[in-house]
Amino acid sequence: MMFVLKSAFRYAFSRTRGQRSTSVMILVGIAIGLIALLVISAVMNGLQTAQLDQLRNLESFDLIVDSEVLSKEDVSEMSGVDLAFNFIETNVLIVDRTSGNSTSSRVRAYDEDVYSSDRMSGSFFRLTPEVDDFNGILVSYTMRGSLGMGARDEIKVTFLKPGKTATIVPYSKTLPVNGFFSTRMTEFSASTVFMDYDEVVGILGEDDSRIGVYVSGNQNKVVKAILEKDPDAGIMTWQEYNRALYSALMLEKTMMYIFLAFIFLIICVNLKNSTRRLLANKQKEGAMLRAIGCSRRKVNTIFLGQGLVICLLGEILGVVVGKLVIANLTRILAFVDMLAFKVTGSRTVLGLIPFNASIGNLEIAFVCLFVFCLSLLFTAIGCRRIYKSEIMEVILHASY
Amino acid sequence: MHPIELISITKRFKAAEKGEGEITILQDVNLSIVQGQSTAIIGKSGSGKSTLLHIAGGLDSPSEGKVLCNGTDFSSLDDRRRSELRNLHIGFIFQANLLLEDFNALENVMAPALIAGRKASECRERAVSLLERLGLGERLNHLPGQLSGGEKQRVAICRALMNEPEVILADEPTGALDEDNAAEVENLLLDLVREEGRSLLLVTHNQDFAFKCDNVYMLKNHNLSLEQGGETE
Repeated sequence: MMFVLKSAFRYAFSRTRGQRSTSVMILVGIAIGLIALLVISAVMNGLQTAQLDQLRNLESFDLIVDSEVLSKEDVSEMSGVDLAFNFIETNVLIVDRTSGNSTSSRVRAYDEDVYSSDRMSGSFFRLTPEVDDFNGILVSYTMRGSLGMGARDEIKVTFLKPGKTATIVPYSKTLPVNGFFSTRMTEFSASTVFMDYDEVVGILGEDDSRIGVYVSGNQNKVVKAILEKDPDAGIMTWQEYNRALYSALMLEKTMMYIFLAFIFLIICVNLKNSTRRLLANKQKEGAMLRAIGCSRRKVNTIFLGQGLVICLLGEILGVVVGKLVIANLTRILAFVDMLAFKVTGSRTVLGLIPFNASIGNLEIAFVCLFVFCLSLLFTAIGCRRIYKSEIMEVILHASY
Repeated sequence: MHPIELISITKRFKAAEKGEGEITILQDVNLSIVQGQSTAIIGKSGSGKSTLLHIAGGLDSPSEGKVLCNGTDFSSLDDRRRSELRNLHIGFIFQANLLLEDFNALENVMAPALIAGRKASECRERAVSLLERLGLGERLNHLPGQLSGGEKQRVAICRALMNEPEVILADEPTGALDEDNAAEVENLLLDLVREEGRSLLLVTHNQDFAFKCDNVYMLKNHNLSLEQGGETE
């Protein structure tokens, strides 16, 4: 075994017939492939995390509870619940009475104290200026721009469902714009306005009211606790509530992995051909090893080991450089952006990436294992020729 | 028991051109290598000398017939067992300087013993002793590329003797050497084989070298004819 390992190491970086440069080329190829896989995974992770965080901050809640028995106070007292509050969401038509512009939108109606909660007042949601009176409407800066409205403008809000008092025709109410908010989700900002919960309940009644729950502990335990108190409660997780977007994000990640796997497959075909080249250089040595007592399998193991050594070193290089690139991605992108600016005179979007690329150790291990298995498979395919070669023939060729 | 015994060996190759059928190289060849004796096979180029040697060492299979190594039929063994038998009982010396290019002289000599699974320290001791005996004590750490043709062939002889095999198979061991080096290698090989009580099966063009052996056979018309010493069986 020691001889096999020693030979594998020796052959991996043999100085004869340009073997070392071929090995280094394979090693760098594997490293580059791995770096690409890790960096793109990290970027996708960052993008996904940012999107999902945004989704969970404002677009959704960890849990949405529809219960006729439980109140928000009941849910708030449960272990693992960070915050629970009433909310109503409904579609409206908005007309700015000053400019006459209109748009369809949805109203999110929360309890007043929710706006000052950690989740809402975090980096994602910014409410300016400070709002004292919630008995109006909060509009995004995006909508403000598109409708051309100003502070204290009056807007007509038409609820697109029967109201509590007017049950046949849509109910309309004129409200002042009391404040503006901004989020990083353009689509959300462009399509959402906020109102006070009591105001909307006064118009639509409590039938559509649900309890939004932010969970700090185990989500499943909270679900269990709610169902224990009200078995008929309807509970939706944020993933279920945003099923379409969540599934799209997951699909996006899966597809990305598949495409990256294809890219690595191309690297592997190159690996197979390079292994064949290495073996062609070492065919005589293989024959000699057979002549002095190595079995076909042992010779194959030596050459597979040679591929293994190159692959492992490539992976180590790939992981180290990959992690460095991921850790400094913002700087690297800013540098590229600066170079692009110097050459073209205009900025790229690279300098504005609003998330942190990150990758977990488990994911790195998985990617490495995938790369390792694929590399080993293609090295083995490259080594198949050893089984076919006749040693006597090789030795005779070497002799003449 | 003979270290190597060839029984009714026939070897045919497929012709390179389509439709030409098969070419017979060896026809019903019988040969027994006697323990402690040297045997040479001479013959014209292309007569099948090297093929016969490779068949005798289990590197190639005969089309018909049997090769017994210490009474064991090579064809009855799988590749692993055949390789083991070759490793422990047969030492090869080739015409070209077939040394492992990435290993120094000492490592080249140690290789067969390491393959056999022997301890590195034991292997090293015997390899150094062999190399010193053949005047290569100063060249232990030299790579094959740093050795002369004669030195390489001496390393190959040491490697062939490393596992103390019963029989050494030598294919034109002096073919690539100049006259002085060839004479030196010839004498070294024959002396070592006699001193260590090994058998030698030599294939050579060099008649002088061949007739220094105990038995000499001529390979002609696909079969062996005795020229000196014992006789084919």
